[in-house]
Amino acid sequence: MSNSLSKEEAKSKIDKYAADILRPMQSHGGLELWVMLLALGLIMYVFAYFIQLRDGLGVTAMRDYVSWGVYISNFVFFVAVSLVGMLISAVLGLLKQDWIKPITRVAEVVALGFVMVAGLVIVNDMGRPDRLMNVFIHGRIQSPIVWDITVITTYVTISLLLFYLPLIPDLAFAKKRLKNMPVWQYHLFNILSLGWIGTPEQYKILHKGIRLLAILIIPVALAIHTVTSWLFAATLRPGWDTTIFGPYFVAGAFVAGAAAVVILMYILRVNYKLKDYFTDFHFDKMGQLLVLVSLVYLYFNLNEFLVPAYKMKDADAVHLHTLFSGKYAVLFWGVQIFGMIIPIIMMLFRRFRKPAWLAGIAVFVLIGAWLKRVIIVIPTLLHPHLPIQNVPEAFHQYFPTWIEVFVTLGSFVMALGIITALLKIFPVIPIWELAEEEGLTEEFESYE
Amino acid sequence: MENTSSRLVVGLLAVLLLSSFSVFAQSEWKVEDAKSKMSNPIQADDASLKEGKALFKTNCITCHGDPGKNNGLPLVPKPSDMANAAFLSANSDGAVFTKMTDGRITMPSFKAVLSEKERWKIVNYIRSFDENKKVASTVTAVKKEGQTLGVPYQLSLNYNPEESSLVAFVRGTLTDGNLAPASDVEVGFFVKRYFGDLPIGDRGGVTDENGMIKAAIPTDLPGGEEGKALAFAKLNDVDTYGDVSAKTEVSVKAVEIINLMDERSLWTVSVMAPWWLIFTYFGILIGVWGTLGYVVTLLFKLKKAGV
Repeated sequence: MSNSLSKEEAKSKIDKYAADILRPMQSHGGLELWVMLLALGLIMYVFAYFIQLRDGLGVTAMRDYVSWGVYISNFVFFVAVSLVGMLISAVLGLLKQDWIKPITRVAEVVALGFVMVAGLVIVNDMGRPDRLMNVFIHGRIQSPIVWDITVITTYVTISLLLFYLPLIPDLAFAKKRLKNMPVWQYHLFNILSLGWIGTPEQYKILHKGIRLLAILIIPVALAIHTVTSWLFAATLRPGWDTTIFGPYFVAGAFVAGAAAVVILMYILRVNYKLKDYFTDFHFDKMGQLLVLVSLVYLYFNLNEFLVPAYKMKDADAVHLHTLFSGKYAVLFWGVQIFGMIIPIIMMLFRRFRKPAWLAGIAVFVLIGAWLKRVIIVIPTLLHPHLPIQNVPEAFHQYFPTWIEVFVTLGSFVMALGIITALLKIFPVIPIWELAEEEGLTEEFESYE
Repeated sequence: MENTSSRLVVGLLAVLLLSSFSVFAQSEWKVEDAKSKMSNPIQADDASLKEGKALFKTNCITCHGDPGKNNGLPLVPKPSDMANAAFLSANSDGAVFTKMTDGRITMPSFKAVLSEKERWKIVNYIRSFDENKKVASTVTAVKKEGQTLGVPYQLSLNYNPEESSLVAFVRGTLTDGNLAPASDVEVGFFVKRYFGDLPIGDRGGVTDENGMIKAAIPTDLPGGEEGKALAFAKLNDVDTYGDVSAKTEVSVKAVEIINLMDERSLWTVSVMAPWWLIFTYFGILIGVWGTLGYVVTLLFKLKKAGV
C-alpha cells in the first residue's frame, strides 16, 4: 500500500485506471466505419494480388533493371517501423525512463503489426510464392536473405513475448473488472493470464522474464535492420555500396517508428479519451525523442550523401546527380526538407511538441520515411553496372502500377488491422506498471 | 559537369574523325610517281611466294580477307580484296609496297613490323593474283607425270612425344586413283581448349615437297590432371581440298584441378559454408532461441506460482 495515499484514495485511483483504460475495449465509437474501410482495402488487395498471382510479376512495373520496386521499399519501411518496439520498451525501459511506461504497449503493438506483415510483403514480391519453402529447404547461410528471414522470425517471436508478458497482470485485472465481456474474450483472458493472482513470486518471475526479453531484443532488433541493410550493402552498386548502411538504416528506423508511435498515441488520446495518460508531457518527451533520433539520422544522411558527393567517383556521380538534380531531385529534396529538416527545426521548439502539432509533424516524418526507402531502393537499380544493349525504354524508368499500389496499400491495411485488433481486445496501457510506479500494486491485485 | 563536358569533347572528336574518314574514303590514295615506279628487288620465285603467302596470312588477312573472296572487314574505307583486278591494275608493285610501308587511316603502317624484304615478298604474293602479270604458278597441286592431283585429300597426323611435335602428312588423289604427297597445302594445327581451339604451329604454314608439315606443341599448356589434350590438324582451304582433318591425343602439362566447390567458402551450398560462419550463425541462433525457450519455461513457473 502506498504511504502517501490513503486506502480510499488508492482505491479510487485504481478504479479510475480501470474505468479509463478498460472502457475503450467496450465502447466502439467509429469502429464499424474504420473496420469497413479496412475491409474495403483488404478486398482491393486480394483482387490486385489475385491478378498478380494469375498473370505474374509482369503486371507490376518491375523489369530487368528495377527488379526491386515499391514492394521491397515498403518491406524496408515495415521492418524500420517495427524497430520502435525495441527502442521504447527495451532501450528506454532499461535506462529507467519511467515516463515511457504508458507508451510501451502502444510501441509493442506497432512493432508487432508491422513486423508480422513485413514477411508477407516479401512474399508479395515473389513471382512464385509457391516456392517459398525452397528458401528454408535450400537456403544458404552464406546469403544475407537467409539471415534476414532468421532475424525477422526471431524478432516476431520476441516482440510477441514482449507484448504478452507485460499483459499477463492486466489480463487478470481486466478479467475481474470487465463486466459483460463476451464469453470468448473471458476465456481468452482466463487462459492467457496463466492463473495470475499477483503473488510476489509471480511478480519476481514476470520481471525477470521481461528484463531478459528487453535485453535480448536489443541485439536482435539491431540485427534485423542491419541485415536488411546488408541485402543492399553486400553489393557493389553505387548508392548501396557503403559501410554505414547498417547504422544508417537503424537510425532511420527509429525515426519512422517513433513517428508512427506518436501518431498512434494521438489517435488513442483523442479516440480512446486517454488525455490523462498520453499527456502533453508525454508528447513533449516523445517529441524530444523523435528530434534526437532525427538528428542522428540527419548526421548519417550528411555522411551518406556528402562524402561520396565530394569525391564524385564515376558511378557514384551518375547516381548522385539523379538524386540531386536529375529525375529524382524533387522526391529527394522533398523528403529531405519536408520529412527531415523542417520537422527537426520545428520539433526543437517546445510549442511544436504539443500533441496536435507533434502528431501533424510525425505524419510528415512518416511519409518522408516511406518515400526515403523508395529513394534508397529504386534509383540505384536504374543504373546497372552492366547495361543491357538495346534495352527497351520501359527498363529505364519505374513507376508503380495500380496493382503494386493496391498490394502495398493492402500491407498497410493488414498492419493497421492487427494494430486495431490488439488495441481493441487488450488494454492499451500497462495498468499494473502504472500501479506499481505509484506503489499501488496491492490495490491493483486486491479487487474482488 | 566534368563528365558531361568530357563526353561532349569525345563526341565532337568522334564526329570530326568520322567525317574526315569519309572525306578520305572518297579521295583516292595516290602514291607519288617516284615511289610508284620502284621495282621489286625480290625475285618472285616459289620460295619468296611461299614466304609472302605466310606473311600475308599473319599480317594482312585479318582485314583484307582471303584474296579473291572479297571477305575483308567492313571498315571505312573498306580494305581492298588483294586479288581484285581493278586494284591490281591500278597499283604498281611500288605503289603496293609504299601503301604497306606508310599506311593511311585504317591501314596501319608496316614499316616497323615487317622488314623491307618481307614487304616485297608480300607484294610478290599479291601480284601472283594478277591475271595480266602471272609471275609464277602457285597452284598447290603437284603435277606428276602428266597427272593432276585432286580430291579427295587425306591427312594423317603423327605425334612425336619426345620432341613434343606433330607432323601432318597430306596426300591427294592422282588421276589414276593412287595417293601422292601434296605440297604447298596450308595446314592449321590446333589444341582443343574449353572455349575454343587454340592455334599452334606457324600460321599459314604449308606442306613441303613430301607433303609434310611439322608443328611444335607448347608443353606448358595446362592439360588437366592427366596432362592430356586433344590436338588436331585440318586443311584450311576447305573450298579446294574439302573438309579434311585428323586428330590425336597429345601430352601437355599436368595440372592439379582445383574445384572451387570442394572447399568451404561463401559460394558453395550451406553445408560447405566456412566453419566460422556456421558457428556464428548457429551460435547466435541457439543463444537467442535458447533464451526465448527459457522465458517460456518462466511462464510455466509463473502459472505454478499462482496455484
